[in-house]
Amino acid sequence: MKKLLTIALLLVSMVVLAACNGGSSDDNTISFAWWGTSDRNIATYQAIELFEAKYPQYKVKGEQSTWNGYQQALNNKLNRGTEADVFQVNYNWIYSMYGKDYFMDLTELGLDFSKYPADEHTPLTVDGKVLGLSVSETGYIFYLNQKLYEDANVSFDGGTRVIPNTWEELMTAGELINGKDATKYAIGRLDAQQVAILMFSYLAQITGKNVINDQNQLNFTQAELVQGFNFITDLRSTGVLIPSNAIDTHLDGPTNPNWTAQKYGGVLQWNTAISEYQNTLPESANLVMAGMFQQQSGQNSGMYKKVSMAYAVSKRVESSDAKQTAVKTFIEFMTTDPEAVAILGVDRGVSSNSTTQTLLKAVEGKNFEQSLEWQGHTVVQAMYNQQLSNSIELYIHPYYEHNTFRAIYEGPIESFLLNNINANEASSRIIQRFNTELARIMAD
Amino acid sequence: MVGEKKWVPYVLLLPWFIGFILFKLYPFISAFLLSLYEKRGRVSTFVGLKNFELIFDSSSYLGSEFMNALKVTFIYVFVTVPLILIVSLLVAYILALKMKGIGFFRTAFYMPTVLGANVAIIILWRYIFEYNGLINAGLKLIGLQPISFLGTAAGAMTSIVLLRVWQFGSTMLIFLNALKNVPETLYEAATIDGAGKIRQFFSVTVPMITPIILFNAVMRLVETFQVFNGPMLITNGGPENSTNVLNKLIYDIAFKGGDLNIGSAMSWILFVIIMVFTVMIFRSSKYWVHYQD
Repeated sequence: MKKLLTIALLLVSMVVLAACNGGSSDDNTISFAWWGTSDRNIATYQAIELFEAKYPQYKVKGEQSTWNGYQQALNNKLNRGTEADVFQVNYNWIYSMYGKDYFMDLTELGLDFSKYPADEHTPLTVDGKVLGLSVSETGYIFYLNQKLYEDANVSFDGGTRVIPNTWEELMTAGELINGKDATKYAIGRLDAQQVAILMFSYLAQITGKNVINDQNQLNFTQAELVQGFNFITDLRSTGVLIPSNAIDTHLDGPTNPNWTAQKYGGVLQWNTAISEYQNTLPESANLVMAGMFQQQSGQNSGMYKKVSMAYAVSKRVESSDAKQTAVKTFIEFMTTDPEAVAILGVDRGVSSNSTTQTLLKAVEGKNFEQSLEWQGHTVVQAMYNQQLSNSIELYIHPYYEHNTFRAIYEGPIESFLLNNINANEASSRIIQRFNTELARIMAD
Repeated sequence: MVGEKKWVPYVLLLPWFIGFILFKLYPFISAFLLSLYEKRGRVSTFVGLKNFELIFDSSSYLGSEFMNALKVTFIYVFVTVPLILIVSLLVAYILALKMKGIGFFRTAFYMPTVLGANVAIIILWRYIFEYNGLINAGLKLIGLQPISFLGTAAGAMTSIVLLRVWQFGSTMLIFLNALKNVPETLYEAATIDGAGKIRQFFSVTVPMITPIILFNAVMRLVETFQVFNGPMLITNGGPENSTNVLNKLIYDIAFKGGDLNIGSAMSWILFVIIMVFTVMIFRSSKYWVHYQD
């Protein structure tokens, strides 16, 4: 009986210990958590292997995950104190996850921030503490399937250009593409999140205003929002977007059959996440970076950007100097070691660290600068800087992507895209709760 | 010798107890405690029933989301449970008849239950109901207009209800067993009295199996109130929150939003709702359930 009870207790202890297992307590073992697709996972494990070969005193425990579920798991682990030593975060989580309570101040770790642009870590800084190391910056831009445009004989500037530059040209392309084959669209289906940024970019172009002002309030009037919604209607009536999202209920963009069958000619996506869309297209397709369409040719506006992702370090690491050294060595290796940089490439976006960029450019045979991610990065930065010179700063507010807050503007947009409410009703619903909910979640 | 083995049942029950304590009782109690606290970063503050007040404040966004989820859950439950009971009883009645190859049909009808609401089945279900899915492909073939099942509130609700009803196998098996236990003599007497098959069904079969109907009703009610997989993976709560059932809202708030306190409070509200309805069914049973001596 005693034996059996002992075995049972041991089993319970094992289960409990397994449940509590998280960040490594061994100073020479670094746990590293990230989300990503298979390309990123393979590259990351290769980099980890190289790190362990170069620094045999350290071991790295990789914790890979898909995007879906990563945030939930991290929230859970932070609550239980079992998060990895180093973990990939979305920049806004610094705020929504009470980063100042859980993430270590990276200035204490002794990381070199001098190679980054001066303001790169401002969004990652709370109460003077840098809570994440920027991995890359990103912006929402258009990527088009050039083949679909060519097949519809779309051309501008007397036949020298296929890819539209302005909204008007995009609508012309939409009419041509959809006119030739009613199942094809210049862009296709965008979800509420994508339409929100499209609409806010358009409104920024015509008003010069950011979505949220310095007083943390919606910057657009109801009349301006109606104008934004009417613009979406124009895009739908000219074959750029599908007439109603009810006729395409697929939830995932890259695997949408209309995207893979090349019926949809484009996508509005973060430049750091475009490879997923490229990977699901047949080889015959030719995905090209089209930037953000403008009111008039040559303009550079309506570009929102944000830190794409960051490396955060668990506050637990603060308690051990040896662990801090290990973590610092690992992060520096992942961001600036020439071999690691070559392996990791631009799968997490293009780093703003000047050393990393130089290393990436020097990698032979990879031609990272020609990648869709890098092309996107270049245009995002150029357009953003151009705006700054005109005193327009369209940085994505840290609470713009808060899970609860998103529903405030995406809910009415979704209803509008399903043709269940009109522009007036959608605008009025957004106005009704935007400011009060933003204030509430920020106060939380 | 007999005395020495008294501990055997306890040891055999131990794994169940361990599982019950770790995965049922502990989360159950800790969720209640969590619902009384507010956590901001690492600081937890006892707030009493404040979280419950927030949830029931319909003027706030959280309150309106909760009320919507409650409405959606009730619609789901009160459409799904009667449908499962009716379909499974009818199929069980047919399968209880003595016919050739009945074994095959019993297996075929039970198969969806074996497959369950796992991710692969749900994704398959999604492909069936999608705008470009199997059903619409069939409709197009016969020259009909496609229907946006997942693009409308009613269509999306129908698809998640049908997924659950499709898995009527275990309910059907329980009914099947009950039907076989109805004494033949009662049917013979009813036939002599001139009752046809339909009259026999309503006046003999149904009254005789009311204890089993009660059991199935309670089990399915408890189960459907806790639905999650279908709304999460087929519709993701949409369109326009029309399938955002309580369990999915709890998941979104507790795990996506990281607010375990509000999530726990909602879980307890769900628990109380299930308990109230279960008690109501039991209380009502004295009026419609007939037990044999």
